Amino acid sequence: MSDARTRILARLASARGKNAPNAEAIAAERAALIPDASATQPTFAEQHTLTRFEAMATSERLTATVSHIESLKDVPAAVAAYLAHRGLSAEAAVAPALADLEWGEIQASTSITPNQPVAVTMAEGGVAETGSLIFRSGPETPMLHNFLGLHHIAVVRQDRIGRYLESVFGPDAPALPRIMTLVTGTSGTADIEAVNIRGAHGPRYLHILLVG
Amino acid sequence: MSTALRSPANFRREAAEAVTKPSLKIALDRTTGLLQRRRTDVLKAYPEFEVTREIAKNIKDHTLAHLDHYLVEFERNATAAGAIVHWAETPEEACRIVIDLCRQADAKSVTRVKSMLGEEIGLPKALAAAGIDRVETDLAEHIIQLADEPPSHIVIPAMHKTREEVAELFANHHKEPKIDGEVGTLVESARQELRAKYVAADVGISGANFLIASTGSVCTVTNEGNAELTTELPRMHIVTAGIEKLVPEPEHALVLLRLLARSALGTEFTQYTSFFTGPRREGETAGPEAMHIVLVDNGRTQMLAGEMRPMLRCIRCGACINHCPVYGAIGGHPYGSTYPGPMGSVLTPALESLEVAKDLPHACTLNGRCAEVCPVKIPLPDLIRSLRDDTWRRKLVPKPARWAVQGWAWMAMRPRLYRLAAGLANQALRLWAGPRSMIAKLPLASGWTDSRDLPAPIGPTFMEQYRRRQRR
Amino acid sequence: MVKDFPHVGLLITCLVDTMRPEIGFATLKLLEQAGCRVSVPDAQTCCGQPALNSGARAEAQALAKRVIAAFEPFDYVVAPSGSCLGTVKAHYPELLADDPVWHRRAAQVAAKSYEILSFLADVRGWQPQGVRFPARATYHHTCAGLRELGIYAQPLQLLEHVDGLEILPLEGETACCGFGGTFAVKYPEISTAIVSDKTRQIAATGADTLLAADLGCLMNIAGKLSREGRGDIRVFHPVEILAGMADGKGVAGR
Repeated sequence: MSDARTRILARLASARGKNAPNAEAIAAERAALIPDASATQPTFAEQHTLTRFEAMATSERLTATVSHIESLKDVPAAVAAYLAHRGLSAEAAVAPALADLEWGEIQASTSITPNQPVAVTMAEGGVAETGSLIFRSGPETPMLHNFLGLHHIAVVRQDRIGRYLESVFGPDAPALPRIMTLVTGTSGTADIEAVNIRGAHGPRYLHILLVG
Repeated sequence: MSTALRSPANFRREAAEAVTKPSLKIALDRTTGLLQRRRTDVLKAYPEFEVTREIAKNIKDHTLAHLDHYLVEFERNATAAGAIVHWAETPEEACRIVIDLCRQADAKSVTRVKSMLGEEIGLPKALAAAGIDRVETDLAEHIIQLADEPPSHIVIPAMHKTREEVAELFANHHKEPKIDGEVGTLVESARQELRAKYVAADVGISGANFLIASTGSVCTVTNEGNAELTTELPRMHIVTAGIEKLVPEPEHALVLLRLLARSALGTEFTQYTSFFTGPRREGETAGPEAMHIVLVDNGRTQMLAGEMRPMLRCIRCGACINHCPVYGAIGGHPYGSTYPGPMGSVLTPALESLEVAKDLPHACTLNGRCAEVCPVKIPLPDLIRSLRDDTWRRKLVPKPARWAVQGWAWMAMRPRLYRLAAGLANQALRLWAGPRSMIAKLPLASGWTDSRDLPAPIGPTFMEQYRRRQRR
Repeated sequence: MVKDFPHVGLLITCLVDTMRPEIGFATLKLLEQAGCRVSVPDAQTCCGQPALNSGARAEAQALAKRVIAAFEPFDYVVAPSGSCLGTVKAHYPELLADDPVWHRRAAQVAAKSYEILSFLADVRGWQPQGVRFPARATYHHTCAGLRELGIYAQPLQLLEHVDGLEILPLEGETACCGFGGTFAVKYPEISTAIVSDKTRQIAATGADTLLAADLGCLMNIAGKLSREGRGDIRVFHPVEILAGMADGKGVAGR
């Protein structure tokens, strides 16, 4: 162990003085830090979880668009409709998780290029509070697919939309992947005169396909 | 202003110069005004703000009180996830670790996500000195890298630049500049310019908004999505983070995240919020092969042991800066350090020294707006007052000012003498003013009268008139 | 409990004493109208704020003790200034925290100390009657009153009952005017830049009168308005209006 480590920890210990609490006492204090998570959650009692999710995602700030499909099988058709609507050519980079779908006329490839026009990916879930999509990295869901496309089409099952951010880490949530990203709208910047602009580095357009 | 000449010791001169720049004033007004309005609007829809900031304060205070415990927990869990944790006491040590890692990865080019800790430890300069090509990916950092200027704000580092100035920079530096007077077109120009550089980088360097002890994760937030692009593409991801970034669990980070975006930019949530836990895993075809986390002290353990401890709660949202009238008048550069505004006036003396930064705690009107907006309830005016006490105790206050306060206090302890002096001052001002009610020039008071008139008293002092009435 | 005829110690503030006694007399009159017996302790000089804000703690402590001793006998301590009263109420207890006896005395005085407008509105439940001041005015909320004492609604509530007085909304009404005590002369360039914003915003309202409840801020703003050739805008402390004692242009001149 490095000397810096030893010295930093020693200084911290001495700053605390003699009465160092034991791990149990710290754990007890830690457990009580958030007496009630709902106290920190913005209320939207009158809104259904899914209604809120859509309202947030399509808000003026997040600028996403949403369409509904019944099952994963409908993804290629919905993608084709989006491409046609936007006047884009029928090709897309798709996450391996979606590669087995019947892509038909769409040229679907799991590889992605730095200037990919369209990428289709699979979100693990969403959060109504913020209108966020949850992406977890893995062999079937590479993270870059969510960032390199100018148009990002994200597929998410509507029964995986949680109400609040806490649902991302709840007791039922799987262990953290290498990288987990909450994507809330499109890539934006306010770096010049605080004016909000879309498509800074990542996608300029986000289209969400809600399944179910 | 070039990056080489920065020092808080030049504050007075640079502040006086800054107020004369019309384009700076335009940029600051446009930006801080917008950010203030957005914050106000977003908080209208978040009545939970007051309760949440109290909880946030408790989370940070608890973690700081047991920081050694949490650092060890973080190190254990990050290591278990495959990351390598390094410790650095000083900026030099931290930079050396990063440079060694870059060399180890045989890096020719590194991409960097904006990190104030990186600025604080002088990483950009250290990389340049080591001959490593650095690409700033945050749009604002990209702008100031082109301009060879230091950041002037912690959230919007190029806040001092108008769109017109940015257009000129891009015209001179971009391979295929796109310019038409619109901010959107400028952003597109930068997107094209930077895209190729992401792909070519060998190492990606980021900071951390939060370090999560229970999972060993690093949490970053950006609106541009540049953190993920910066760290997913290269072979190695290096994180530099101050040790005060710890929180016990992800849930604690969520509470702070709710406050961070609202306070910083007036939005409910940041566009991209990522939790990084270790390097590339089995079966993955992307992601860095190695992840290194450099934990930096640089004066924080000392702050933690003293009166400035509440400052370590800071989550770098910049709300205090956006609401500071002094910052709004002079921008960030005169502060001569990485951190401007109220939070900088407290941090800089601690990170550098009170001797060089002695002006900063005094260059404040103590109007209290910073504390009012701080999402973790840092009592900034109290900390600033406490630093003023230190400057007085350590005789860093200029002698004439010192004598003036002492002389006046001596007099104020003696009511009869004080009455006499107040009466004389009152009479002198009336005599000097003559028939006019405003004094345009007054000896020894040029600090006031150079730029504004001094209203002259109309009659004798209150105490004199009052006593006269009592006698009647 | 509203006492029937409380004894109020008037903390006149050094700036009002020397520069604008009219504010002091207006305060006195209002306190009497609000059913108080008023005394002006002879032993008072200054609350010590300049020392406190310069970091001269020993000097500030000595002055604080003087003020505490002088004002302890009264039922209430009232001052026509948010920043002076803020020093007494928000800072004396902390300033004397190391001395248990003085700390207790400081806390007791702090507890019964009030800025004049909040005292009239909150403690006395007083309202002006038959006061007339025809003006299109605008109101600047001073920082210490606003953030150390939480005074925001009270001045406007009181002024609402003044006949002929219209209050125009001021952009940046709660932003600092750049006075900041000794800051104004220690960093004149910055102070001037800040007050320039304030005067520009005041001018933009089209108001003929500016009101604010702290003399330092009033002098700063009036001085800048005058230098900019906007000396026709009248500048008053609200107590002068409420007491029916607003003469001429107030702090902006005769």
